[in-house]
Amino acid sequence: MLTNTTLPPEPESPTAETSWEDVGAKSLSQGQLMIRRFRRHKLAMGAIVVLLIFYTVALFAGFFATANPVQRNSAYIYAPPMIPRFIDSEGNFHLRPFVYGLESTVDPDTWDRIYKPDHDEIYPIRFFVETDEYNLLGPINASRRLVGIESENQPLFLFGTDSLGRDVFSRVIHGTRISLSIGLVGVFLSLVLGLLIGGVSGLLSGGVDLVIQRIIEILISIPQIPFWMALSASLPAHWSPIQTYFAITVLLSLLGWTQVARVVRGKFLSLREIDFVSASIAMGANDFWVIVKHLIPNFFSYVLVTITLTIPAMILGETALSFLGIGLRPPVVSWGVLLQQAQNMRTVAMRPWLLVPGIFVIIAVMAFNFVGDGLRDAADPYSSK
Amino acid sequence: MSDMSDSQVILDIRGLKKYFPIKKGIFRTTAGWVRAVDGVDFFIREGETLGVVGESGCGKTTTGRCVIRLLDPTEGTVNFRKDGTMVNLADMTRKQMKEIRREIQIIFQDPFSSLDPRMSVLDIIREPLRVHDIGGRKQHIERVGELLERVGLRAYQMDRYPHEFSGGQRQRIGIARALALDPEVLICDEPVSALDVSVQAQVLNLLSDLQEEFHLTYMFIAHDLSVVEHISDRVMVMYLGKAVEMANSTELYKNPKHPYSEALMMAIPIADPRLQTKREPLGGNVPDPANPPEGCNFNTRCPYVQDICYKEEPPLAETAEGSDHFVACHFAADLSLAGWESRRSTDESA
Amino acid sequence: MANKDLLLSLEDLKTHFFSENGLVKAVDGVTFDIERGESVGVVGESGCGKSVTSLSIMQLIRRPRGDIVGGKILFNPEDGSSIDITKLSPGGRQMRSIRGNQISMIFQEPMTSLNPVYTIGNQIMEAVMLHQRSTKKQAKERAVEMLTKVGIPAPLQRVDEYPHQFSGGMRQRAMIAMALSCDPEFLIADEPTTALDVTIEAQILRLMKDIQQDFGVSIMIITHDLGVIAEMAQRVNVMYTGKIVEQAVTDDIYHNAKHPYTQGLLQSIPTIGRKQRLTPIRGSVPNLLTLPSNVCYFAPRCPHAMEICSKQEPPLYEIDEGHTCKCWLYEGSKEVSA
Repeated sequence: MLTNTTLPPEPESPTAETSWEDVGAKSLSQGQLMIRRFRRHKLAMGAIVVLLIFYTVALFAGFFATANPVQRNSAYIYAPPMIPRFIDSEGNFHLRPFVYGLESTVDPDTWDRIYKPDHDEIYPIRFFVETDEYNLLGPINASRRLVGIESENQPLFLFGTDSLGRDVFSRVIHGTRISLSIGLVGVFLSLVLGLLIGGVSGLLSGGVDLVIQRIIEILISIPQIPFWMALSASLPAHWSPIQTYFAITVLLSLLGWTQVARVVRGKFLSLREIDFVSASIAMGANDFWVIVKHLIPNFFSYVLVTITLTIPAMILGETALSFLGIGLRPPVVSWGVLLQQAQNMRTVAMRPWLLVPGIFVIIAVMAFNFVGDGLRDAADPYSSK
Repeated sequence: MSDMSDSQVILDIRGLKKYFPIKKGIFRTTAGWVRAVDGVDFFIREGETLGVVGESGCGKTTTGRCVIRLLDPTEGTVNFRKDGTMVNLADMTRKQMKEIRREIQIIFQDPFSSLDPRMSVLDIIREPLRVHDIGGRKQHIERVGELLERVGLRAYQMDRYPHEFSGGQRQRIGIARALALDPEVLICDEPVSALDVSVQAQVLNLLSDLQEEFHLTYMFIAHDLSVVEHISDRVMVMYLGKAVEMANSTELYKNPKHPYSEALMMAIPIADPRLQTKREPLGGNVPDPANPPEGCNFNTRCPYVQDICYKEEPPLAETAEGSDHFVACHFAADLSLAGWESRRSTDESA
Repeated sequence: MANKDLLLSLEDLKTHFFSENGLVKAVDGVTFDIERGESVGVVGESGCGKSVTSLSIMQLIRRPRGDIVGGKILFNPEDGSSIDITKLSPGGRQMRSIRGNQISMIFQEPMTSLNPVYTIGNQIMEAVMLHQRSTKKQAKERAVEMLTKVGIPAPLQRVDEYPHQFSGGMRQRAMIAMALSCDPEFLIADEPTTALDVTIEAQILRLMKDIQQDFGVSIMIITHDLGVIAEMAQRVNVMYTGKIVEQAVTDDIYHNAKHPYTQGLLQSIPTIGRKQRLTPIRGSVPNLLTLPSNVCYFAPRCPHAMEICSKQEPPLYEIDEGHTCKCWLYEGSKEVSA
């Protein structure tokens, strides 16, 4: 039989081709090709860098912050951002950037504090400054921070302070932790739910599929904010911040899984009809084999795209809920919680620096969207690029 | 039909039907049935090639997929000769089918979708060996190397991925995969219609060589009449889910007995400007398979149609005892139809 | 103008595409003429540049992915003028008045070339009203007339139907009706029957022959199917990797082929009644991205390849009157200046 025969290739075999016809001397798998295509996507690569920076900052928030985010400074309520400068008021150039100290007076009419830079007090900005001890990561404590000024009585407020005199910069840095991780945890839950439900829906089809599809349609037609509001209103007020955090992620993924489930089901249905799956069945493979060897590897990239594009929705969801005061609550620090300070038009008009966390929300959301776009373009195995 | 005692028959299909439901509305209720295959009888002898031709929607692909149980037949028997006895594949469980699958394999039309883009050529070709738990990685590499060389590729190419190959080369990979289990029967579902003309011939020759070498039996499904004539020993013509004619291929192309076969012979574009037909082509379109006409299903287009054709469905019957020429037409004996050769004679006289 | 019967002549046409992986010379120096009332075939396998040639004539190459980078497309309509299409702006008024009016095109897949949201009649009327400045009523009459001419039964009723209500063959007829509605002088048919079944294909080919006679329109038919070309064309251009390798009257192509590629193609296709082993061309069509310059691209697959073939590109030789071939085997014959 065939096993015993090794025949020379046919004369008309394609091996007679010369080198310029031999396509692809280097062999690349689909995964490698996808990475290569993704790398060519400059915007997505830039976004990846931004996200890496964000997550590094989130991981070592204490190091990047300039102060303890919950420390109140009654002397500096609603202090404006201190802008690092190179040229002082007399026009001298300083190689090391510096900030001026803040001088405060009280407006006799409005009783508001008015701050202005004190040109006599120059504080050079130094790197790796020694400060009070803080928790870096888990059990590790540290006392050096990335930037700071060496002064006993003048704190550094790069983004100004809030109503209690807390440093907005440090709060934004610490808020990164919650805001960016809630997206990941939420997406993980969505992924698990979506894979399971979408897989069942695509695999069983028939009545089960019909019911699941209708449920998904109902879920996506519910207006998100009121739905979340109703659910989060039912969370017990006495729950610890950790409990609330997880409750919120579950809330967010309750709607988030539908997208993943739809993609998974769609891919299941289309791949089930594709010839290489038929070939696998024709050689005697069972469902488990087909799913593990063919379906999952082939739709995984699409799932990756979907979840990348779901993360920003989660971040926005958390921000919206916390902003409305029904998500996370102080003392927890997240970008949404920080934005609560900017709910009042007068505050925003007079103290625009309170909107800084919003800028970070926008950057993070855009970065995730760009990465998602890049992945989507790279995922198509037969794209011409 | 040929009876089962014909010891050469390896596949004997009778009364094969496959209906697909038409689903409508949000509750996906069945509104009707597409009769993709509507009662087909045929047989294939060991070591021969049965060509199956017909236009799109005639049910040729569905028939092939029912034979290999990629689709479950709605009705009918698919008898396969296994170790000297006939077994009906149509009512086998998946477990029982798994053993049969070592004997019947399939080659697909589209060289792009038939290979998993995420697998290397090695993994693609050894997949059947892994599914059947035959040998280890080392044996697989050896075996895949042999198979690759046999289908005209090189063993060192097994580490590459499908996207690095041309259409013809991919089709060779698909053939190597189908051969991995040493099957007896290959269902070839339009194996060359997606290929360039010059590459088509390479694959057709390869299939012929493999058939001779490994004593394979082919069910060769295609819409290209020249290709089917070239490769087949016998040909079955299908129309609207039914077999209308089945005969030795030379005989069928020379002396078609069914008006539809004749129309096909007249319609083939022949690559010779001196052999052009002067006849009026067959008019009309293939009717909707969800709603086939009463009686003979060709009655809407047949130029020789009579009253009886609207009332009674002609059975597929042998023209004469032992002629091996089967036709489903009330007037098979009365009509004198023209084969492809009539095109030559008319033109040479002209 | 040398020949007043000349309708269209391509002179050293070059259309290149700029992909991320490099330059693709899809059409690389194509020269051929089409005479008035003639039907010319362009045959070749995937990637030979046959479709890009037709898209170049229609100025339908999408920039910046691709562009006509050299050569001329001289169009000589009946009014006696002579226009170099490559000089016209693709979106300009003059090109728009040529496209669909003087030169029409029918495509392989009639479903994607018809707009599903308009009735067949509306789509024909649109072309008529755009180019002929006729009233809506006249345009509708014209639409019905055209549908009748292409053999669509009950045209008065079907003119108001949508493309999805037509079968594949009927849609292709409607496409032809639309293409002919403005009385074009030149019709490009790009794989017009590839998506159709044999019996429907025969109907459409018959229809195209009839309209060529009735309308006196010149046809350029592009296909990979040697059978279709044999039936339809009077002269044939065989293309391979962006170049024309052989040019002759149809009978010569089929019975006196000179280029090894043409010979190979003819031996590759099964002929009914001759059950002998096929003689395929070895190898496969090369990747246009990796082609070297100044060689014969067919050399690696050619059974007659000589040393010179992979060193220098062969010129076009005139073997007989009206029969040219780009192959070193015919060195010594008269060279044709491109």
